[in-house]
Amino acid sequence: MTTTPAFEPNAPTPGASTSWRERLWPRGGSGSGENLRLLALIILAYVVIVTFQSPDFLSLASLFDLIRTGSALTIVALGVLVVMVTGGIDVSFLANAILSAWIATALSNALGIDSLAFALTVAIGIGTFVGLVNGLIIYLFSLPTLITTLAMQGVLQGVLMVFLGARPITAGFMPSSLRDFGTSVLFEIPAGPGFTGLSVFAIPLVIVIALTWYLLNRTPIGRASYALGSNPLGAVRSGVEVLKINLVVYGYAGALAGLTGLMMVSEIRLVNPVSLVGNELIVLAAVVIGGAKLTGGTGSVGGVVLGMALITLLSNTLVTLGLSASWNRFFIGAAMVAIAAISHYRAKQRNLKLLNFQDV
Amino acid sequence: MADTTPSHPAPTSKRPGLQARLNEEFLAEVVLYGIAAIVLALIALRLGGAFFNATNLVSVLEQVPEFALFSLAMAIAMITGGIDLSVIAVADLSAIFAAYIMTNPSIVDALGPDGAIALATVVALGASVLMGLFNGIIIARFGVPALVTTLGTMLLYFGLASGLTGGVGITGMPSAFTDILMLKLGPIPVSFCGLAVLFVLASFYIRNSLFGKTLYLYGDNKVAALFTGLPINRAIMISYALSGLLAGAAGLIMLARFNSMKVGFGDTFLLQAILVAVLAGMDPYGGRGRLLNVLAAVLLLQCVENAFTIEGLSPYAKKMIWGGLLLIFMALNFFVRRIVRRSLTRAALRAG
Repeated sequence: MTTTPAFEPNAPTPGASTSWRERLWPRGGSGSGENLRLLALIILAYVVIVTFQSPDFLSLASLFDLIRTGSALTIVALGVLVVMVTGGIDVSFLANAILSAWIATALSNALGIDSLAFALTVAIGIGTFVGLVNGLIIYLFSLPTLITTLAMQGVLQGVLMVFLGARPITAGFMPSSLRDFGTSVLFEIPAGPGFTGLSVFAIPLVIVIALTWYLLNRTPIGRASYALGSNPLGAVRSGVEVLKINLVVYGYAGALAGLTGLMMVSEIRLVNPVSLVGNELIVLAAVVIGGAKLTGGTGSVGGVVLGMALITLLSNTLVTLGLSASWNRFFIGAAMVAIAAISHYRAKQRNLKLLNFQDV
Repeated sequence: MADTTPSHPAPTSKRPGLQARLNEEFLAEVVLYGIAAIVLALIALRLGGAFFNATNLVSVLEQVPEFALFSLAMAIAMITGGIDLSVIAVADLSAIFAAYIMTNPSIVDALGPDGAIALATVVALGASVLMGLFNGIIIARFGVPALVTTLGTMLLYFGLASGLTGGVGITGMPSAFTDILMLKLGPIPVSFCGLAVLFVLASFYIRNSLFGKTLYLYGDNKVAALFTGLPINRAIMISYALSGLLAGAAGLIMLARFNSMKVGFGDTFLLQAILVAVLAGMDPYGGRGRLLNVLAAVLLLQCVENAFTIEGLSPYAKKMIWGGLLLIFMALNFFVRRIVRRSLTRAALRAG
């Protein structure tokens, strides 16, 4: 136990000497920074290949498309990142997302309130509540987080379908403010025959990226989260309150799940209670590809954004490479296994050198 | 329980670690069989003869094989403190290979119908062992946690299956293959007899062989296991290959039952297999639990499932109940374990 360092060397150690850039994009001798550069290279290479296949791919319109289709899942992935930093995992987030979005829409309809702010408040509130329940029961019974949140996923779906008797809400019955939210653009540029615009989703995306970065790197809670993930016993002995951290990280992940749910239903203009669930793996893959480890203590906001960018690129452009969309999961899985294998193998070698046998 | 006692006396007479483990396993068994008795009594009160008749009980036995195999695969991974989330994907992909072979006219012409079935079985089981071994290599050699590895390979195998089939189902297996499940030994299906034998052998082997003890030791204390000099990596790889093999066998049984195979078949078994393993007293953190109890837990859950079907519950209601039960069982196990630890500590303090 004594050989375990309080922080893993590649965790962004809080200290005055590290610049903001180092925290967002750690570099220099750390596995995580190398990972990010590798990931950026992979994305670049992939973009070059796609551009060879269809030359008009490299445009602002493609970037806008990437932002519109990828932002909802990137937001929820950032919530999962915060959980993973503490050494936990959450697979209930999409069940939570659709539950929050359905209740928000149904409540808006029932009360006749056609306001985006109201729907957002309700969705984020319910999402947060579910997240807090996750965090609380995991702490109280010291349960394995995967199994708990997997069970929670079943419970949430059951609550939605059985107790609330949810039926799909089609576009015609959605509040118009929600429908507009999915189609609004900030500004437009000419593209091809028509116009293409930067989706309004860019605003929550930027806010959540900034907020998550701030939470992880500039607050005591963020520091405690990294500490708890790297060395739980050490963190507890140095005064980290596990219950508080659990509530914050699972609550935060839940809040982002609620936001994501509302964004997704307004993008596809349909609130289908049985949709979304089943795509959790894609989000988890993005977080792992971005360099977070399930054992906790590592992972960065920049990594998650890049990982999600790679996955969204894959699913948007696989058809241009002549492969059907059914191959999507294969490539995501391959990328996830390869990157996890590389980063864990490096960590294993490093730990053996340090005579740290805990994480071998 | 004598098998886990070391052959030579321990240097100190007090071994609370080992003692605690045995007591926890025993108490988990009490919880399991207590719950089983209560649940069966409730079913008897509510449904009576509608449930407890020969036809229904035999149908319970007929329905369990693939469920039991998935649960066994999950339980073996849990002994080492790991988990195998790729079992359903392995089953689907290997069954798709088998379905391709059995429905390919040129192969059937060349080998005859029985030859094609034999080839399909060998290829499917071989593929499933390789997929499991791949999991094991990533976990043991590269040090990736089982959870990440099997999440990734789940995507990989599902992706490969849907890429190869384009998401379309394959149907029309030869009747000689689908009839395997119809075979009966008296009133009892042969598939269940085979299953029972498999469970007894697996449970005995994993408790008594060096291989099995290595797995338990690794699950109980990784660092200590590393310092024993036992071939840990090899044991882990073999255990995941075994999980893969069991999943492949489950895939073949699903193929025979549905007479078709499509990506995503059987994905409800994932949550249930985890639930069964936890209910059977397998500790998700590793090192505890007996495989024979898994069969009992599977039978119990299948009885409940049948009772739900007789009651006419929707799949979502079932999923909710399974999830809720899983949370309750884990909480219950937590309290049981805490009581055991406290009483042991108290006993140790009294003894000075």
